[in-house]
Amino acid sequence: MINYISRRVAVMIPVLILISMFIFFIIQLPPGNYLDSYVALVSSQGETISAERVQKLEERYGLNQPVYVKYWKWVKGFVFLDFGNSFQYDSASVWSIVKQYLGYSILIAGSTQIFMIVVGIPIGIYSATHQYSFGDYFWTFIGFIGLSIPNFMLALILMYVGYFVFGIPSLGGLFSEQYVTAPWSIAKFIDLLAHLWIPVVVLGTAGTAGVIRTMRANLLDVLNMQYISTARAKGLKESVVIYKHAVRNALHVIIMWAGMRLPKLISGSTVVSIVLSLPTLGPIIYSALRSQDMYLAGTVLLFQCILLLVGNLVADIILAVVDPRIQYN
Amino acid sequence: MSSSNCVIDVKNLQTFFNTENGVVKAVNGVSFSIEKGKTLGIVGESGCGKSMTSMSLMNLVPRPKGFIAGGEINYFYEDGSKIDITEYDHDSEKMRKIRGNEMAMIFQEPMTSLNPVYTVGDQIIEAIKLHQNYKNKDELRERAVKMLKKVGISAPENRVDEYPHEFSGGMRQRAMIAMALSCNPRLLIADEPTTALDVTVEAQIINLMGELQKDMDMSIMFITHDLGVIGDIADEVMVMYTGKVVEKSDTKSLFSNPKHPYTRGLLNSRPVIGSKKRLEPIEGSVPDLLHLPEGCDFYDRCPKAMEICKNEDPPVFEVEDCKVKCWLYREEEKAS
Repeated sequence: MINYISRRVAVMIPVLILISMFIFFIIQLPPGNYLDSYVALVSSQGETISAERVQKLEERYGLNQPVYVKYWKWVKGFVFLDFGNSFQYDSASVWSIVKQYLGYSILIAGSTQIFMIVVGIPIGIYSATHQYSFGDYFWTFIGFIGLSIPNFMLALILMYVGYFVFGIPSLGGLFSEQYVTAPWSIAKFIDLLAHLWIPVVVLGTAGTAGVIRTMRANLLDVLNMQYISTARAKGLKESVVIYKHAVRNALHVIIMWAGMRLPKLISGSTVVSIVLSLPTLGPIIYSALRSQDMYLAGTVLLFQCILLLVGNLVADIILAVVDPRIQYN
Repeated sequence: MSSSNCVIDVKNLQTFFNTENGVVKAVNGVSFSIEKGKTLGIVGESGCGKSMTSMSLMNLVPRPKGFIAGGEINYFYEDGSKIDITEYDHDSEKMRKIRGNEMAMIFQEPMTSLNPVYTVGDQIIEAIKLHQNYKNKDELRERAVKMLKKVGISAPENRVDEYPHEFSGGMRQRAMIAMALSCNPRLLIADEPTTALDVTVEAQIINLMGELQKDMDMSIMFITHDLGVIGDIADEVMVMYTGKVVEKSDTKSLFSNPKHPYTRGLLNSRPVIGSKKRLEPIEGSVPDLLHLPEGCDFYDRCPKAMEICKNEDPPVFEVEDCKVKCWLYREEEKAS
């Protein structure tokens, strides 16, 4: 097992290097460079920037140098969490911006992931074991509604209902006003939980519906397998047959899907984050792309790729635990 | 028939399926009984109700579409008391205590009949734990190893911890047999256990089953479409067609003097080594169970069809200790 994991981690490193190259290539694509835009920005505000400073910055990013040198200058700072500077945010370092939002992004994405699985799998099992019953049709109906309503729409509906029906002033954000700047405390944590469920439900509804449908279909397949008859023929209780013998064999697709979904929860949550004013990376990459803040956009992109790789690795490890055949293939 | 030697007695069993196009009578009025230590072979083409008969015995008819519509399945315990399986819910405790413990089953597809995510040992131990009084982990494991050894798996101490995918087809079927026999069942239902195996492995498995049967004084219900295999292992043979028994007799007379035209057709359509005779397949195919003819179900394919066969379904006639469901024997029964 350790062998398997270390092999997988070892493979991730060259992949990450390739990804960083690709991202750097994308950063370089727009005409002009970051410094041109920076100088233009500063002079448009009526200030001048000294030639000395321009030269200093040019040197720092090696802007006059060939692409591979520039790439190296960007990459070599990674180990020290130096990803260059943003110019939207007064030249603040990209890392100082990203780290403000990364935690909340992962918190929301992770909670949503857990929500989808914890809600979706049991309903999927129920649907499969009660195929064509009223309950099955009911959850199928709910599932398709969940799949077809866009997230941001659900967010707007929730906010509308919350405000006009229940009189809750704002369902947005992750904290109540008094806690936003307050230091961490138990009260702040409880306040966070009280706010967290809204984005989690909004972001997780479509995914939950997907989990329900996938789980139902897979479990129905597995229930037709010969080894399920074997398990029943042993004299096992039906519940043991389902939970011990069937469900474990029906989880593969869900595990893989959950791993691939991790970065999608960040990029896919942009509109919802804007609607619900959530402190996630979604709106950051959105505005960075709009204002050509390329180092910031590139770095967020890089983090999403890392999340994808980590998600896949975790999924593969869980798969190997669930199904002993995986390690050997 | 409730002689003390009887293990299972099935009377007029009817197992039906609800489908969108109507009710399919997969098993329609099947009766038989198996005595202690004896083997009943069930032969027939695909879809004749062989497997559904065995699933009915285990009370494992696929729900919700399938159901036992009528008849009795009387199982006789060691002490002589009996239980009618059709009266119990499939998941009831009584049923679960019979399954795996009194009656065990092995299946056609050894490649898929073991759960891929648990070790072979775990799956055997699961059955033992359920029905036997071994509590200690080491005892359970020892018992599993012993069972694997019994079915001829070499180095069972190591193989007990392996996963099914590390076993070959024949080995998996051996492991299945080990699992089925781990609780000393009194009736073993084998649903085409050798169909998916090589001929050499097939012979080994059949021999193994025969040996273990003698060893454990166990009854076997052996389902197959291979008449050669049946000749090797069965004491009595039941030929099924469209969910009904068309002929039932002891193995010897079935081969030497087959009565029903369908049985004859089956025997003529298999190659006999040394014979230069052309094979004679049975013309046509099994009729749709939803649209069975009015008369005899075999009428369209029968070389000996008579006028009466077209309109009237034949009853079962008893001829020379055999039971035949064919109009040809109407006169003979009267005579005998």
